[in-house]
Amino acid sequence: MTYLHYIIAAYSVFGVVLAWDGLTPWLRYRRVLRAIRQKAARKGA
Amino acid sequence: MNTPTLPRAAGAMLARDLRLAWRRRGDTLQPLLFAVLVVAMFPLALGSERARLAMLAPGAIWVAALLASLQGLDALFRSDAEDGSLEQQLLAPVPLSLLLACRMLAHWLTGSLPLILIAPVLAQLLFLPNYLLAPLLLSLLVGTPLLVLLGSTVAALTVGMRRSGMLLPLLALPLYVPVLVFGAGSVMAAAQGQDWLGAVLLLAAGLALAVVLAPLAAAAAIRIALP
Amino acid sequence: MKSPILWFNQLGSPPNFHAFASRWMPWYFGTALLLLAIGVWGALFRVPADYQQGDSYRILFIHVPCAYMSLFVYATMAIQAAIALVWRIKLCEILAMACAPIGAAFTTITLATGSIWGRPMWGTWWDWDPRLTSELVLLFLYIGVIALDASIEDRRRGARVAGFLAMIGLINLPIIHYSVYWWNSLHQGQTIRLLGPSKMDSRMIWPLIATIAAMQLWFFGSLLSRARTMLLEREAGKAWASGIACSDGTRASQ
Repeated sequence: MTYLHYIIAAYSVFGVVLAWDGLTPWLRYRRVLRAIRQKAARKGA
Repeated sequence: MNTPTLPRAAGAMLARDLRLAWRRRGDTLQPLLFAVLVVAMFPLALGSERARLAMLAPGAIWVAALLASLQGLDALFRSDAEDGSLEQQLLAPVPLSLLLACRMLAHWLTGSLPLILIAPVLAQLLFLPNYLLAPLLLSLLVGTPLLVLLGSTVAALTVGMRRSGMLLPLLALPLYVPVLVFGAGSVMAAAQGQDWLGAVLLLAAGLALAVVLAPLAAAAAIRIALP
Repeated sequence: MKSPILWFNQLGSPPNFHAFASRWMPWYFGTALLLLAIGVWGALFRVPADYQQGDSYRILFIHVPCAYMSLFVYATMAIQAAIALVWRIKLCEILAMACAPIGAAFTTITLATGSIWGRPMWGTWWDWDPRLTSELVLLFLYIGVIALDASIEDRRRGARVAGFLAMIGLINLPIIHYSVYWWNSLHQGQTIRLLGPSKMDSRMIWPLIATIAAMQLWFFGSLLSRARTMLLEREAGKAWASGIACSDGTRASQ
């Protein structure tokens, strides 16, 4: 019996969820930085 | 003005809650009606075959009791939070946990006790065998107060939120799991001829702990939740 | 040389924590990914197939670390919440809430990989045995904490309220597990052994150590990453935040 599909599926789920966990905070961080910058620019202008 | 003694304060709070529940009888009875409806759903969904319904009866009645208990939770603190009585209770010279314990007792008396009283009727609707009636009633008697205590603690956390919607059931259900498992499980064990009292005694032990801890936790939760 | 207590105390100040997190985060993630690569390579290509389960047991090397972390993160979350409630430390509130999505991710991986592993092994995608059921309830607990925190506008109060819920859930976790175990033994469900009758040979274990260490480090990295983002969001109006945002303007942020 080939387990290949199951192994691929399991490791893919693992990879996708970890990637989500790693990327979402980083993307949010960049968005927050951009928002602060824009706000500072508006206030300074 | 003298500080009221603890028994008098407790009695006053209990009397107030019971009186309020009586004045809003319709609202207070809604969870009970809901439970009956839920029980009625099972034969409609699963077919009216006696044997199958009898097998599912304990679990179905327990789920109905659990869902009905969830129904009443949202209203538990809402009216007091809205009109400011809750703040007054916070400032009262008697411990908040005592007042909350009385509220929880009133909630059980008005919500769960009627359900236990009509449980034999529900049992008949689902063809529950007679010898299982005693385990069912006993498990409900011990389990429903536990549901009220646990649910009230979670409800205390959401006090002050405007529309919690389905959030409260979502939060309370994981905590309800052991009660459901032991409560319904005891009746299922009785159905299989096994020892069922042990599970009920475990629930009773949990109840003894919760009677002490839940009002304290709920009081802490209200202080955290209120701005 | 600063005393440790002073250092710890100063860490609580937002700019200091932000600097600390930004500095150490890449190291945690980097080491975690390195160990993960070693572990996965070992799990997939070096370790021999199990005589009973064949190749499918290779899923164990990602399933077990995530299962362990799902519980570890919950305990960490509850402890942070307790500290936040007792001592009113703002940073601990943030750390507690940052734990929740990470724990939920680990729990999801555990449930999914367990289910995928179970299909060829026991012929079923799911079973209501104590471990799986408790893990499922754990996921609901995590979701509850996240939902409760999200539904309260005041961020500090939300963290404290959700943290209290997390603490209540912590006490409940062993009870849930024990109750399902009792129910399961009552109904004589199949006992699912994690490793099967074959014991783990010592030659097979080493990738597991690598992946467990990797997930532990990943948690710390992710925690710092989420915490510094949440901190920045809450302190967006402050001067130090503008300082960081504007000085970062010309280069890609870490």
